[in-house]
Amino acid sequence: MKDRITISIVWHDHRKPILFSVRVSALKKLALFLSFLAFAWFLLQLWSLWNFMEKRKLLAEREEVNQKVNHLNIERLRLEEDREKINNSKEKLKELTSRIQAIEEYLRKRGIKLENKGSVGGATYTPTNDAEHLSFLIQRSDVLYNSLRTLPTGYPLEGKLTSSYGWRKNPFGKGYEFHTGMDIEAPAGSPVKATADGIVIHTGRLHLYGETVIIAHASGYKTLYAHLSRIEVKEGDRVLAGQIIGRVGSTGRSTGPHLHYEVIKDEKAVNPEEFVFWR
Amino acid sequence: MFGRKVQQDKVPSNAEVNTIIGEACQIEGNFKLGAGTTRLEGTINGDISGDASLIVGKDGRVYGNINVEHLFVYGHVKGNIKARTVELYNGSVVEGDITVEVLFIEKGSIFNGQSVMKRGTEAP
Repeated sequence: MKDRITISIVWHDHRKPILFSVRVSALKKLALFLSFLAFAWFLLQLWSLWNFMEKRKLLAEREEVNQKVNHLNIERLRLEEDREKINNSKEKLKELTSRIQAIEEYLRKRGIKLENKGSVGGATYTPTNDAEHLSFLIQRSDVLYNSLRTLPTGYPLEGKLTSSYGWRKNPFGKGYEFHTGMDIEAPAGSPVKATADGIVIHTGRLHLYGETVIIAHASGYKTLYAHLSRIEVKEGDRVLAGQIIGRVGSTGRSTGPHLHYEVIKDEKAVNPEEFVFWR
Repeated sequence: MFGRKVQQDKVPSNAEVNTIIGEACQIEGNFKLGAGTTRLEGTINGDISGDASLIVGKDGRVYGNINVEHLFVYGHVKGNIKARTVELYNGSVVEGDITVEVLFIEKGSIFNGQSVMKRGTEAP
């Protein structure tokens, strides 16, 4: 009896009062249970709140990841495009290599001595990557350019071609003679230009040639310019292709102002037209 | 007049029920109400008085005069009633005279007697 309490609900209207007695300990247990429930509910709320926040965070992260994926996809497409371009470039690189090889081959056939530290496509040198390959090709093309500059090319003078290399009638008398160069007619004083880079090895009177300049080229060729009225370089000078070395004249065994131009290989005159007209 | 008005504030008709006279309880003799509201579920043979509220439940029976502040009747009252407000509800039976300021009778109530309306104070 002592540990019990009565709880009554008394209506103010027609309904009869509701009375019930419970054990205090049971009530305490109930209270404990209820508070536990309340606590559990509170935890649940907390958990769902946390869940909610987490979900929001995850959604945001997913959004971010999606964006990143999109970016990466775009990046990938771009990279694929780039790769295609690179593949194209590789093709071009191969073509370039074969062209340079062809040029080298041609120059070699023409008797040009190229610097031989690893010619293109040679077994002595294998590029390990494209960049290296490319810089190698650039270096080779430099070598080719410099070699080409040492190869007699084109006219030393603008004018009329009056006599070619080969047998011809003697212009001073009867009979035939072998003409060792080509004659280009031009007014006296017209500038005569070196046909390739080289070093002046002779200036001055040379028998029938009159005032003459001889230039030695790294390609192994020598060029000779004869019958000059004036010489504008000195022996030992380093001259560049296109540089004026003298003026047209009629010194030596000459019938009028013209230039006698010779290309010499291995101390023998060769047909200079082969260097004037490329075939 | 003024005094009654002050009293009216002191005795609200909706005060909490702090006395229950339970079912099958029977009181022989006069009964004085305590503070708050008394709910009667048993029987009183005698007069009831007090400046407080009385609810006579469905099974409540009063055989005697009632002189209270507020009276709510669901059961039976046999005797004269004197109160400031009286409310008779469906199923209630009153046999006797009522002297009252404010009277409410619901449909289904039985009232056999004379009613005298006192005037002078405003309705609650």
